[in-house]
Amino acid sequence: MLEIFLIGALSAIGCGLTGPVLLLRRRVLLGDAVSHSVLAGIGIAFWIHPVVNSPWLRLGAALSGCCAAWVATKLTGILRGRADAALGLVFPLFFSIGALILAIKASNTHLDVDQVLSGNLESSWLERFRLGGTDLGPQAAWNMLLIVVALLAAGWIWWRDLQLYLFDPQQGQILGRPMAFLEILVVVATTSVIVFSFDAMGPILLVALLAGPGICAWFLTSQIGPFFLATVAAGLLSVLAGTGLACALDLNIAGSIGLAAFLIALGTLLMAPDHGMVFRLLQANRARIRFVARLLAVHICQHEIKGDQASENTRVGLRDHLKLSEKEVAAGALWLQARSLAVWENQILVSTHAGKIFAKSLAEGQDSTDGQMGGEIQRPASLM
Amino acid sequence: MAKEPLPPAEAVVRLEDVTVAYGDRPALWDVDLEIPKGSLTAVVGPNGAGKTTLMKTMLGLLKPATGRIEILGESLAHSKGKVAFVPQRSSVDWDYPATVGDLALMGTHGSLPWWKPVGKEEKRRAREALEMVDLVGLADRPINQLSGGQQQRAFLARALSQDAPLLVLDEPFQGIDASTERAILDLFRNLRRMGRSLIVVHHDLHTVRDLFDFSVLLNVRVVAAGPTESTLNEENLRATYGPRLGLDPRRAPHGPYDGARP
Repeated sequence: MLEIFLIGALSAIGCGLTGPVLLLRRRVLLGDAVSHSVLAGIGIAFWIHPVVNSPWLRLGAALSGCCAAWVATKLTGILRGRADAALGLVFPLFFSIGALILAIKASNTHLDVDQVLSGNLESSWLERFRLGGTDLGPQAAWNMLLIVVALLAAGWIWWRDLQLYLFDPQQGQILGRPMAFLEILVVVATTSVIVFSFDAMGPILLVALLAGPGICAWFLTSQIGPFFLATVAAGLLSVLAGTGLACALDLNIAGSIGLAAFLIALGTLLMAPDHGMVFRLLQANRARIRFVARLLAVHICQHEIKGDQASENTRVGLRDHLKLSEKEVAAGALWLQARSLAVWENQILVSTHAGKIFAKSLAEGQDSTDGQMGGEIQRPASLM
Repeated sequence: MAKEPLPPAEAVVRLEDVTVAYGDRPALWDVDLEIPKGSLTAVVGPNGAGKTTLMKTMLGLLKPATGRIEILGESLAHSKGKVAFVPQRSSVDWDYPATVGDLALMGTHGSLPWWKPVGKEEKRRAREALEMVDLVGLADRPINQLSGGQQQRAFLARALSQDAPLLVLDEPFQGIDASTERAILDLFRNLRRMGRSLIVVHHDLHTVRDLFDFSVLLNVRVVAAGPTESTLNEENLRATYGPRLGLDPRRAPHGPYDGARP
């Protein structure tokens, strides 16, 4: 169990380190395309050297993944930037080549398309890494560890170049940085992560771990370093929650992790501070109340000057004349009351001295936008 | 070809016989050009005149088919980092996770080997750049929360922190309000006073005379280049934009450009 979690966690870290790059370059589906395109390499390698579990299969997968990414990139250029169309053309081609070869050549082995598609985390620990007879743990974990270390090293070396590449590659070129090399590096890194976590995860889960955690980071941070960290953290959380879920309910682990990744992304999208949808709704609501309060402050002062406040500045009068709901009138009045700018007296909203100054400053186009009545408003009061 | 005699000052950019072609279609044809050091230069010309191509060639982004380019007396290949560029705001995705301070720091990314972390010197350069564009107060603000004018200033800060002697700007006044435009202009003049050179691709012919001391009129060939005062005359403009310019009310609401400003 622990080993399965370890394999999943390392894959999540690998995806967490490459996912942001794909996300920020708007190429998340490249991950999907590459993960399906590896089938062509697996098929061709198996044709040449028909042994399941041979390293040749992995090499073939890696080569065809890189090849598909390269063809898709070139095709995107030919199609004038239509990356979706290019991917749509390339990945079914590679996938069907692989599927055809395997159907012909591997129909009687257990290397089947179904397994390639869904992945099999449950049995991924079966293949062991042995050194001189000692069992050092699952091969898949060691593979992923190697990839993660390589990714971290590359990220450390090209950290600043990566930022240029992600934000403005042309600027990187002007500064004399190796942007073309980084383009290749990104494809190779993505393909390596996919190829080495592929048999454990399957392409569907891979895309979930490439996209979901990155989306969490998108809502949580606005700096690139924390963006990567948040992605890795959300990926690990997805694996932890998914494995837990699978154990508790006896489900397919890969599917559970995919579900967990989605739920975590959804939760972040809703609940994230500053950018989350709940926060935005609350903020819009607050902004509306502040606006209504200002509307009320100016309106009641005007009618107090006219002298018809008894009919105008009642709940009903304010509601009908300002085209507000009763709730809004109540909330706006409460906002003013809380700041001692107005009080209810005999069902009439009456502005205080500070409220009159506030309304005057609003009419003159001055506004303290933070909603706190600071010194600005009070100062003229003390001068009088 | 009405070419003014070049001032004796040292050139910040020198192009000799530069031709740039896309396939077999030349976008710049046999360009000889010297832009004096410390000048505030406008590059004007109709659409398709090769303004962007000229800019990209000077930045080393396009390889000319023939000719040679020198930046401050050195060939372009040896001048990495000596030319800073302020692209149009729309050329990047402003949802990228970075703060204004991060953006300003990006201009220094070319000057450090990978094993060295960003040091005091880089931070100082970024901070000074932010001070010059008056964005220090917004250093911690995410770039996706900036207004158009602030984005333009943030881009300027990135270019300034590069500490390059030559700045190339692609239509920096597009879509910004009058007060930001004034602020940016003041900055340009300050930079010129500090000895930096600026080359600006500019669309608004009306303001060239007010803002720039050196002008390049481009239409695939260099039609004219020289001090704005003597270069930006009706004859040269007709040669650049075609004979209909004076009649086009959209382009020239105040009549021909042959003397005093309207």
